[in-house]
Formats: sequence, C-alpha cells, structure tokens
Amino acid sequence: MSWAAVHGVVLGLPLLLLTALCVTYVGKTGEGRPWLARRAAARRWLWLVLVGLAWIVPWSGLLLTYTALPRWLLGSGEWKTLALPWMASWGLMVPMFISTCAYLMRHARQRLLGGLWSRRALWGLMWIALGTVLLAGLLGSLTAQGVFYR
Amino acid sequence: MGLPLQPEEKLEGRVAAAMVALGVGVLALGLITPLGMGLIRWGLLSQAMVRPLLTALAFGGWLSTWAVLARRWCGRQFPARPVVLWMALLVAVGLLLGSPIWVWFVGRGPLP
Repeated sequence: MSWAAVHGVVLGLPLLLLTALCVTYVGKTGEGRPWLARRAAARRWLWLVLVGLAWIVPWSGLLLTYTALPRWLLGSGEWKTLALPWMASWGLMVPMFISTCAYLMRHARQRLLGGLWSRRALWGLMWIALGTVLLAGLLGSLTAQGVFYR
Repeated sequence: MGLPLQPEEKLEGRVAAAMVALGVGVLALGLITPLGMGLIRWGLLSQAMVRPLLTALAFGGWLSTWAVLARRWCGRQFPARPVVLWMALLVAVGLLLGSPIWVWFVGRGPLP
C-alpha cells in the first residue's frame, strides 16, 4: 500500500466516522443526543480525538501531496487538475469547522448557547464539516490511486 | 390584543467571535486558489511556494481574528441572527471560491 492509502485508512477513515458520529450527536436541534450526553468521559474523548484528527489529517495529507506525488517529485510542481487545489482548500477547512464546532458544543453544554439561531449554526456547521471531510476524502483517495496525475 | 414579542436571541461575545472568525478563515482559505493563480501569473511567487505560504497566512488570520475578537467582545452580548447570517455568508463565499466552479467562468491559469 502507498503512503497515501495508509494515510487515508489509518487517519482519514476514523476522522470521517467520528465526524459522522458527532453530526448524529449534535442532532437536528443542535442539542446532544441522550445516549452520549449521559457519558461525560466518552463525550469529552470523542471531541478531543475528533479535533486532534481534524488537525492532523489535512496537514499530513498536504505534506504527503507535496512529498509523494510524482509531479512534485519530478520538480515540475504543477497541479494538472482542479481537483487537487479543491481538495487542499476544502480539506484544510476541516480543522476550522471542527475546532469551532467543538468550541460551540462546549458552550452549548454549559447552557450558554441555547437559542434557535445558534443551534441552527452548530447543526449547519457540523454538516458542512462532514461534507468537506467526505469530499476531501474522496478526492484524496482518487489522488492516492493516481487518477489525477497519470 | 397583539401577540407577545419574542425576546431577541443573544450570543455571548466569545461565541460570536468564534463564528465570525470561522467565516473569515474559510473565506481566506477559499481565496487561496484565485489569489494564488494571480500571484503566479504576475510572477510574484513561485508555484511551489504559493499554497503553503497562503495556507499559513489563512490559518494565522483565522486564529488571530478569533483571539482579537474574543478579547474585545468578551462579556458583551450580540444579536444572534446577524452574526449567524454573516458567518453563513462568509462560509458560503469561501466554499464557492475554494471550489473549481468559478474557474469555468474566468478561465484557467497555472494552479497553486
């Protein structure tokens, strides 16, 4: 397996699953689901690991893109397809979205974020975070297979 | 007899700061591709340098905006609706600029 494939399976997939889990945790109303809300330690770890992965995965992915892709290694340093800048831009938005969501969720748990608009914001941001993780993961796996630079 | 007025939803200053800063950060990341294309075309930066440099600037801008606003807005209350809508607008523009959609209209140059 290539480094890019290992990166996707070991880091990218857990990030995707945890983000999906946190979207279901936040729920449509922006409030925590009861099944996880009762487990304070599990909830804290879930968000902590999610934020950690959200920072590690895109930055390490960008590093891999720059160090492992043949185009870069050959020294031309040019991306031939719009998919790669798209992946880099949206992928690096993931830590911004998830860090902000984790911060807002903390305020929501402390009952400092209870209104309709703030719940809508949290719910919407988690869905956008999931969307960007999905898209970056899809483009990343295509890149790992060499689709964009063959 | 009129209906009772709903109290306007308020956001604590630090929460509003996090939301606005997120909008600024996403917009900055979205600007990397169009701005980078311009910088390469005008010969101001080498192609390999553009994305790492602009990405670092976008993250620095996001974190410093968050820190400055959180410090200045701490303890204040803001109406929630305009803050959320501004954040949504900035995020939407950032996502659009970060996607390849706009390139179909303005044409393609060397990609950062």
